[in-house]
Amino acid sequence: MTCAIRATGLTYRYPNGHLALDALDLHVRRGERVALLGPNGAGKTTLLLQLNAILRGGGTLEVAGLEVADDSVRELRARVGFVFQDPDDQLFMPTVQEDVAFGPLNLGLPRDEVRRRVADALGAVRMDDCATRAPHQLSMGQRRRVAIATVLSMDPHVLVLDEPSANLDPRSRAELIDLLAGLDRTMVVATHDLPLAAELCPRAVVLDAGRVVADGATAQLLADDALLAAHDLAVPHGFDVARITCRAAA
Amino acid sequence: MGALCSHALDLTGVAGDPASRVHRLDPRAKLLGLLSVTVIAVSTPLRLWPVLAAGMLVLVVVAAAARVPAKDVWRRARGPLVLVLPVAAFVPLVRTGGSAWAVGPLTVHEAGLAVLAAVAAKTLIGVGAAVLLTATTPFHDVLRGLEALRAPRLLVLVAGLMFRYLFVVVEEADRMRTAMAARAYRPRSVLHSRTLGRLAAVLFLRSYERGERVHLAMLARGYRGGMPRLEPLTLHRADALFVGAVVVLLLPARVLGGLP
Repeated sequence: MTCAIRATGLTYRYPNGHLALDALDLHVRRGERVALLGPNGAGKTTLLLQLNAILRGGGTLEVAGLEVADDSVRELRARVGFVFQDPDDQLFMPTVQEDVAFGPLNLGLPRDEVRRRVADALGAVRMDDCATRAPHQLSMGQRRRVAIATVLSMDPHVLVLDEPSANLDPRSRAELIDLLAGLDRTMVVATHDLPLAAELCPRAVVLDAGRVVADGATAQLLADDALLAAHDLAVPHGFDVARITCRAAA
Repeated sequence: MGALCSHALDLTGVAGDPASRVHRLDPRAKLLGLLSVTVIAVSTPLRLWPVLAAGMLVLVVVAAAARVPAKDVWRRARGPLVLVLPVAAFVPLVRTGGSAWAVGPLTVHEAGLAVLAAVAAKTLIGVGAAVLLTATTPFHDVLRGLEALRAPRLLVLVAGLMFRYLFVVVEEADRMRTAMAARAYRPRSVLHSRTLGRLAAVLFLRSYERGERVHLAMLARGYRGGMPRLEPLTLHRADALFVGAVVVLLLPARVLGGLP
């Protein structure tokens, strides 16, 4: 299996008639890190929700070696870890430990295995000492890291993140990039944070109106001022793409 | 509104010494033991006042063993007590029977005083038991105990999510209150309360939308209707001893005293 995501003619229309994805084609290789860029309403989150079979539309979609279909949903959700934009949406259990254990327990794993996975996932995000705390007692940066741990514990093939740096202070953002750069997984990151995309993802895909309008090396796309302006994107003032080194997977 | 809510949420945590024997009891034992105290007290007529006194004694012993300070018990209990006791205070004036005494323009009746004493004692015991349960047991453990005691799973799930998101909703309410104050909102008459009504509606809609997003997050991690627990509850000898001691102390006296 070299192709982690193979979407062909992917279409999704919301019940209010809005066409969010319009015959979208996207191929992501195994182990690749891809940034999904685009203005608000471009279809980024809709595409991510399709990867986890939370939304189902037209076209064909194969993720982590599984064709998205009714009988593959359970296995698919074990293979695709979805980190939502707002950690408060993701962390619904009373303690960090129980939240991280929720996914593996739903997979039917034995309790000893779940305990090992919880310890490993919390260790990977450096939150081992917060296992018994309640989510509301954590800072936003800590909540984000725990949200990532909740999907790492399911040992997914593909990690899908929706706006991972939203509402983070600079230090928490830098820690998050360190953390994500150290994870050896196929990763799809929807973000408005173009410096994060440049640092984390060698490849970027620009979506607009539910279609792929550009696909290539992140550094190259971010240096194209005309492309960025045409799709309501902009690198921060004074930010020099050429000086950013993209961090390869560990 | 928000500041009030934040203050109220401060009272939801564990109080006393978390390492005490009472804190370490299984939540099911504390639920059963303290519920027994409440049920026995509520069903006890005033003439069996020693049973009520024993019930209070049990609560005092539990509070002392858990090292829950009296001021913490009072801070948590005063809300419910303020709701019930003032209403009961009128009963001696309207419930006639037995001797009567004139207190200024009012007449106090003996039968009414007996009802007031019974209501006050039962309320103190019921509220005291609930306060000690929540002061010695994290709320999620109370829910785990209820689930293990076969309470409806859906109700337990809803209560758990409600408690988890209470903090988030309170933060949202605080932010909205700040935004209103920043735009010089200061209600001066009842008519201005319409704005508060609209804000409550916005808060409800935001909470509803969050509920949908949380459901998606649960589905994304394989939710299929159950809330699996990593560490199942286990009963020990101390748990059986606690429930047994409470029942042995109160139940025989109550049963021997007859029906109310």
